[in-house]
Amino acid sequence: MEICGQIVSGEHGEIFIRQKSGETLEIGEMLAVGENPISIMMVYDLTYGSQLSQGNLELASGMHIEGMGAGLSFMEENLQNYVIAKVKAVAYVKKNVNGKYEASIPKSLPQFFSKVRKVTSADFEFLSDGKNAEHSLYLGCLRSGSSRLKDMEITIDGPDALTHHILITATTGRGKSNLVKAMLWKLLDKEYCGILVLDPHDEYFGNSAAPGMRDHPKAKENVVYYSPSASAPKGSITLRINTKSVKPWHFNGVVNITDAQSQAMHLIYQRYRDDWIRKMFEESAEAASLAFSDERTGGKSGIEAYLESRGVMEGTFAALKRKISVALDIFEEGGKIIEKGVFTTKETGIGAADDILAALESGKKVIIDTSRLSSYAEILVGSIIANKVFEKYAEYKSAGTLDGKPVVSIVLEEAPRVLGASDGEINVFGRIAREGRKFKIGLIGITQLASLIPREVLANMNTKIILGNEMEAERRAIIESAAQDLSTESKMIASLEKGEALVSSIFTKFAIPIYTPLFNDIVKETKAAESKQPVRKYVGSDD
Amino acid sequence: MPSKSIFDFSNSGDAAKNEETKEKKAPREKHKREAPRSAAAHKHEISKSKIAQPPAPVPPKKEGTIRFAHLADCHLGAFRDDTLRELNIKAFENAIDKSVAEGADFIIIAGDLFHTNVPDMRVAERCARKLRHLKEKGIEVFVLYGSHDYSPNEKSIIDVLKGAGLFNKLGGGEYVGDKLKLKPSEFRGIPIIGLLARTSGLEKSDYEHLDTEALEALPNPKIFVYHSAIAEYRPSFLKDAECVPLSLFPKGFAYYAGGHVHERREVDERGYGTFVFPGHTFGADFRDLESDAEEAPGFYIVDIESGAINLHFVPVEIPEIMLADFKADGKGALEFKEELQHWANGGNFAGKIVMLRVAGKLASGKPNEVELEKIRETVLEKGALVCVLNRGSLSSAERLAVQIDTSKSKDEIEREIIGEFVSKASFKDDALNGKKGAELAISLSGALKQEQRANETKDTYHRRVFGDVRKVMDSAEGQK
Ligand SMILES: Nc1ncnc2c1ncn2[C@@H]1O[C@H](COP(=O)(O)OP(=O)(O)OP(=O)(O)O)[C@@H](O)[C@H]1O
Ligand SMILES: [Mg+2]
Ligand SMILES: [Mn+2]
Repeated sequence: MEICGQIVSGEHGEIFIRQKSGETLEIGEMLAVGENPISIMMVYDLTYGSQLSQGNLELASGMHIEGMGAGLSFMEENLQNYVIAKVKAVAYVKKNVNGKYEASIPKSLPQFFSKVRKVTSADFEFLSDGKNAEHSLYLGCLRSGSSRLKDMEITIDGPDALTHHILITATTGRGKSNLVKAMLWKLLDKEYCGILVLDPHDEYFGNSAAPGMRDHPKAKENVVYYSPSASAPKGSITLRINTKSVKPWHFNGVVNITDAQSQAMHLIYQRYRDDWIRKMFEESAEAASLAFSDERTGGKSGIEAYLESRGVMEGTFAALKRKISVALDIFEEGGKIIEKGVFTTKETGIGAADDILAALESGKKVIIDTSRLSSYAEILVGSIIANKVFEKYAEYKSAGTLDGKPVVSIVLEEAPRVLGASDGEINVFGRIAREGRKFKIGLIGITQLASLIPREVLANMNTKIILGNEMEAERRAIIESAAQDLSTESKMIASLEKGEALVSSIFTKFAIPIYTPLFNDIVKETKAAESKQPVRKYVGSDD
Repeated sequence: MPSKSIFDFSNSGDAAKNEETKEKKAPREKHKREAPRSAAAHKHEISKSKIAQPPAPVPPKKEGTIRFAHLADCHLGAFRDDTLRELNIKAFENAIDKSVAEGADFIIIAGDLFHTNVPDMRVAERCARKLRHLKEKGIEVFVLYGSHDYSPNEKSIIDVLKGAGLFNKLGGGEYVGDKLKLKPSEFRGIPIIGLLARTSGLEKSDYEHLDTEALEALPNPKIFVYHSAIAEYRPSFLKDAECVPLSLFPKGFAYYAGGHVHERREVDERGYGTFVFPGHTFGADFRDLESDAEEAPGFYIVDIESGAINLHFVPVEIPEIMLADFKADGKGALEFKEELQHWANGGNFAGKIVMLRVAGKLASGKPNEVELEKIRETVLEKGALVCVLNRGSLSSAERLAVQIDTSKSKDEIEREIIGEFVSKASFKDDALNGKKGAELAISLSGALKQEQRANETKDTYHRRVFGDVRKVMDSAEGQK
């Protein structure tokens, strides 16, 4: 056991440790006292300490640098000057007679003057004690300051964590996406959850330049990739959503719609049901081409006349149609319907939303490349699917069959766009954040700006993975809503390197420092362990 | 007479139909909407076949144009009913005759020419005769295995007819390493490539390994023939597991001749070409016939004209199909029977296929008191070619009227109801009768309704349920 320091003073939450000469303690480093029980502590600040008074130190320094004290040195320098680490105890671990660990939040101080050592993986065995590996959610490996305890994988309970939502925050480029990739990779062969990734940067599936989920040995069975691009890799499905799957309430909190417009929308839906959007465009396209020839229509579509007969003000329809047109990327030009995006009124994409739901329900991971979509369209696609999942799972719940279903989680990059404070209606994501856990549906929100997410939603995201962030205001927003008191960790968060994070969760006893390896390295590791392909045969051989 | 199964609330004909074919078709939505469920005045809906209004005729073939016919899913040999089986063959013959009349240079049959790989020889003979007719006229035929006439060891009627030189078989190819290289056939310099189907969408992995680059390098115009549903166009009646995404298809073919989906569809797919599913020529099950009543089935005549593709859908001539829907809800069995008799007596069914659908819950009396067979006889006497009965969900309120004592627990009530039904039944195997039978039914349903546990993989779940069912069966066996 290597000693690196000793407790010299302090109080609960602020223990002072004198660093042993020759050792270097770092901010974020984990230290331990004792063998069984063990007190685990974390360094959160470092200062100098000296036996000499400030005046004497300054005098000595002056003599040094002004060249008057050549040959002068401190007597027993290691004894006189040293580093004081401010630490706080984070966990108190006891191994009882039958080999089970009991970990608790420390309520007492470690023995005064105890010798302090660096932690080893063995100190954290309690983290994996009694855990169900089938249900694990991988986050990375344990970290102590900047050193990585590679053999100590950090996982949390997947179903719990996913349904209680996860927030991943950091300033740009600190490895948020990398972490989510690593997480998804390790989830690919786990059946307990279906994951929907709305991927605005098209970075999760992978391509010839960068690896992604498609490189996983189980990708064929367990990954479904939708992309609107005709040049998307083989096996991907063209993202195309028939407007029959779009319902008026999917626009809630997605597109800003006035009460009058909303009422008009529901009237149209009542009349035409699944064809409501197609009719909006078709009928007015017809009316447009008839406008000059037929005076009776006065250029108005049947829908407009119908709406007006129901007391909807003139002009409401036009405004509503414009909004829907922009959201769906469906336009009308010279009596023709032009579809520029993924939404279509034609005969394709009818089963898409159902297929995605079915895939999620069978524990698959569905990645949707939304990089070419307008942000409205992207959120709308998400909203359609999220609504479907919600409706289906609510049905299961009332039928009492929800228990057998996998958890469904939705990954949202730039989460404040959909979770951000809006004065209007709460959209389906907001609903999931608030009550999704009752239906086994969760969110994985990724953001640079947690402060833009309403406090109530932030408080509902019960696992926070905090990567490097130099913005004080952002750190404050996260720390205020964290599951543990992280008030002393702010500085440390500011200095986290790429891939380094702090996991604060209601499912962990303390905020666990982790490092998530570079995704490419994880892929290489898995690839190396892969086996050979079977020999294939085709029936239609020649005669 | 003891009933077949005490739990059988629906008709058995329906179940048999389900076994018959794999591609299933929901009744067209249009159809559903058109049927006003509430209208008391309309006790039944009768929709007429649309053959009365034929689509635009095919224009005469121009000089320098190559014209071909694209058929799929003829399912020759389908239907147990002799008349329907014959009508199906006739529809195929009609399609071939029309292809000849329209001047087709060649014909593509994109899978499921036959309903099974070893059909009734009379059916095979009829088809062979027609094909010989084509051969004599110098019209080449290209046939692809479908999911129904596929054979893993090339023991299909398709191979017999091919061996007789009656057509070219598409779908040749082999794996070179991990790549599936398909061997093109050709017609006057137009490459025709086929990727054959296997049962239940197993061909998907062939698509995944397809050497698309080699196919894309072939000169255009070229034709890709396949027998699979496409994920992006998946109709609601197919499961997505059985679909192939567009991205696995080779790009840049002028024409993608599809089969398998019994629904007509044309899509111009950017980056690819024209995808066409002609639908069936007659159909292979009752749902197909119901859709035929909405829209006449048929095939495509396709013109390749200086690289451009022109499509003409040609309906086949089939008898008029009459759909008659009757709701039993709230009516007594005798009252309902009278209503049906009245309709049957007054109807004009001459030369028609009549699809009689009855559904709903009788207020009194039993379904068999309606004597649907007699109604059917009347319809046939009145000149119908066939009368297809679909008892759908005709049930009786009486049958469900079990005395339920609400003070009892759910389990107790379940036991009593099962016991009551079992006591009314008699099975050959005595282990299924009486108290023993009831106990067995209860334990079996208990074993089978277990849910997957949260900490369980599908595999362990299956093994657990299977094991439990085994135990139940073994112990029942042991008591004998
Ligand atoms: N764990 C890591 N180890 C080493 N390098 C990393 C690690 N994680 C990320 N990086 C590097 O940092 C780059 C940015 O990472 P990533 O895209 O995950 O950041 P981000 O937080 O998602 O950024 P943005 O906010 O722009 O989306 C990556 O390209 C990668 O090279
Ligand atoms: Mg990112
Ligand atoms: Mn078929």
